[in-house]
Amino acid sequence: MLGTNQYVPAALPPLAQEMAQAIAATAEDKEDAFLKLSFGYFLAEEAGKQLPELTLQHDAPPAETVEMLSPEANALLRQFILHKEELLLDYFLFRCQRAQRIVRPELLPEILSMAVEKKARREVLLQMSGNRGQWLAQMNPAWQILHTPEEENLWETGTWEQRKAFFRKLRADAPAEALALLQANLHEEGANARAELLALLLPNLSLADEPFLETQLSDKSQKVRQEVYKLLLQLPGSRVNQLVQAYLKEAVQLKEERVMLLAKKKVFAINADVTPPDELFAAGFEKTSSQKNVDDADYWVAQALEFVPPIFWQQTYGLTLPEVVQLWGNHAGKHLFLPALAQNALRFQNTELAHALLTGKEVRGIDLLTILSLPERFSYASKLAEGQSGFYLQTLLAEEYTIIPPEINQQLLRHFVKNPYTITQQVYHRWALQMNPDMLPVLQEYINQESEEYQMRFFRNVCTEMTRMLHTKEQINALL
Amino acid sequence: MPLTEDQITQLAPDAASVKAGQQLATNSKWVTKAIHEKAMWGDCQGSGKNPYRTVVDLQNMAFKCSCPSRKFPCKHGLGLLYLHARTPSVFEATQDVATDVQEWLTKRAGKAEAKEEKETMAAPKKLDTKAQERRSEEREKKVAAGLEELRMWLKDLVRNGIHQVPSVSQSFHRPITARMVDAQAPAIANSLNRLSQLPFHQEGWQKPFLRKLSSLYLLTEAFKNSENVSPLLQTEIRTLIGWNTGKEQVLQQEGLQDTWLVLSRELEEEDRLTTERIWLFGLKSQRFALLLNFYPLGQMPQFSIVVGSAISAEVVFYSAVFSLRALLKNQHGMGVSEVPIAEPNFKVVLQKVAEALSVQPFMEQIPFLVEQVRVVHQKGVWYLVDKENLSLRLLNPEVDGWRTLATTGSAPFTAFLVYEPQGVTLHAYWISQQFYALA
Repeated sequence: MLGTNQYVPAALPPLAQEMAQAIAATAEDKEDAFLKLSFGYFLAEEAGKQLPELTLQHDAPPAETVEMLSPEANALLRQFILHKEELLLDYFLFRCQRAQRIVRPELLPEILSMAVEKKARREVLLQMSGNRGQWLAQMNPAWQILHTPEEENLWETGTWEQRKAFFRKLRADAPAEALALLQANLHEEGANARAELLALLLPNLSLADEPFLETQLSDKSQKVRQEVYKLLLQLPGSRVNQLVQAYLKEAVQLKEERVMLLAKKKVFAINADVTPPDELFAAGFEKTSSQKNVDDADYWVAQALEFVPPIFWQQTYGLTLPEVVQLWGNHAGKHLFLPALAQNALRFQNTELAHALLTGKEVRGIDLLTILSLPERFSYASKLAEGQSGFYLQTLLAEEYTIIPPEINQQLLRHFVKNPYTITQQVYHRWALQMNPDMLPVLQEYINQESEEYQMRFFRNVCTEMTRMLHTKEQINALL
Repeated sequence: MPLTEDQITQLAPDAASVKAGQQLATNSKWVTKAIHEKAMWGDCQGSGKNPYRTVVDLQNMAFKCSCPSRKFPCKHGLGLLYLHARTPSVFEATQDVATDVQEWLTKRAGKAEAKEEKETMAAPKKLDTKAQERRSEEREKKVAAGLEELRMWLKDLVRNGIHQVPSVSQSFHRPITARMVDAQAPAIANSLNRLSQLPFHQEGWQKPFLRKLSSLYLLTEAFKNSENVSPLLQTEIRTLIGWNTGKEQVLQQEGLQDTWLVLSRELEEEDRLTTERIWLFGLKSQRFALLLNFYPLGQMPQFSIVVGSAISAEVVFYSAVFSLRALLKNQHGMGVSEVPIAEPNFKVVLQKVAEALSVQPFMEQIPFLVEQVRVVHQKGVWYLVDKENLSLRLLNPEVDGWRTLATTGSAPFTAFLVYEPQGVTLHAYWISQQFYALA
């Protein structure tokens, strides 16, 4: 060993010999010789360093077919990532996707890492990372989850998320092919995967799917069977849906009642002796109500109301949807039946029923706004912007960042200045992204208000930040 | 010279200033904004009645603002620069500089000239020579005694074996480090402190550890025998131990006038002290210069040079055998960076490393520019490979490797790197004439 008497190198090269001799001549002790020799060794090693050859060369990335962001836009995006400006980042991604631009390569590490962490943004981030992003992702184990195999192999070799995305797209583009794929492969999947894949049949669900779905009712997994029943219940014309319609037809009768001995009015009467068939209970209907003072028969009818297609009322009773809403609204059990009708409107995306419910005296299910177009939602401003301002505003904050008309903005601002804590700061900031620059002077007026009342101070700060968001949004728009 | 957003961000004293500056980068916040080749100025409407007047000297990056902020530059200065980077069209391009701006620029130029004159003409302070000699002798004695103890400590360490060091890596050096501080050998104390920062959890820590130990030992030996070496090497040995050369003394020497590329800037925080390292490269002189600044806790780096730019300046080097450390004497203007001439391959780099070590064996970092290199990722390790396929390990954080690969697309590029015995650190590179800094 070096520095001890136990090992002396047999044949030293001339330089080392010279060094060892020079050191030996001045050596104080073994440790002194060892330390000097060590440093001499390190210097000699470094001075004569032979570098290893590395012939590995990464393939060049495929050329990009899409235009890149300008350096200014890239820099802005970098700042959003760096300072965790999530709302502005989302808006930037939205604009970038719409403008069909990809990020400049220097930002790819951040974009790919974010795509791994944030599933919701993954698709758009991958799109923005371009061919070079895909090329880079396949080399780094931490990003490999993002590397998309070739389209034709995706179903066999992709990750679970990639396979679901593939199936979702196939179902949207070619429903019959998606069904055939599931028919051929579903049995190879685990119970949870089977249930999840079946649930993906909901978009474009049709009677063509029914025979296959019926066969899945014998699946050994309860979870799978429940998923299949969910689909069959809401598939108009299916055997299970017809069971619901038959039950409702029998249980609900349209009667005429005399009012004050002069006029007549129609009412729905429920026959408590009619019970739903057992299969509906197997499909998920609950036998007894969990609510106090709710009759089981009323409860069964309410559950059935959620699943009958809206056309049922015309075909069975000759009633329009506004009439149906009115009749159930007059029923003693309206607190039970109107929410069920709202569920029905949401399930069948029926805007006529939604409008009928929203224009009624008692607004039932403000979430019905979500199935209406944004201009239709705007038309309910006068009715909802005061009483349910927070929720109403939420329904206006659409992913497409549609501009909210200034008069609605002002109406909402007038309400929120008095009740500033109705919504969170995050919602205020998000709201600014759907304003147009005409709102800047309005916001400035609130900022200039001199009241030192604590709610006003909060609202002023909120408006200042909204102004910044609006300005930054305009900057993004100018760049993309 | 117009700055990019990234370059403006580098000027900011902290992250909060960046955010605040960006919030001000909107047209509506600025009542006026104008630009001239010498300066940029604007009036920013703050919470008070009168707007704040903000001026930026574009030739020798400097800021002036009427706001009360103690940060430098303040958010208004940054905001004005960000606004120009994002929407230059909103600035009025003027041929005449506003009176107050011109006054400030003239005052600055006058101050710079006076400072320069003062520095070059500075008469040596009247000192009590005897007292100084006595202090110097005392320090010599203290250092000599301290280094003798260090030799003993190093010998004890190797005699007992270094295998136990990782288990006591945070404490084994403390007594001797404190002793070095007492012995007025602060640079040695710093070297001992850095010993504890080696990656003891990694396989192969013994080699760099032993290298540092033996290097320190040889430095004590060099001090003992310093009368036998050249005065220049004597100065270098004393600097490595901790003797300082005063800035005024350095600035009195003649500088090197050149166009200097600002290659990189790093900040390192250690023991309540921030060290700033700025690497420059002279285009005509083909020399590197290292600007070293130290900031105690609470003091913010006041940085007026932008990485990626080229400055016309006079640089004065500290006396050394292989001089790198320098001071900026005066700066005349700022321009756009260009790709410099670089070494052809790693063989030449290693040859120059050997030459450097032969005259100054204690050098631990040597800068180089090398052309036609590429990054390669193999089995989780990043390498820099030259055109003859010779490789050096990259010591950068992993993300730097990915960023370089992303921007270069595996194509060769010209690199600015700093050589160390364990590998190289890539600081900046050029691809298709475009400069990229890794910071």
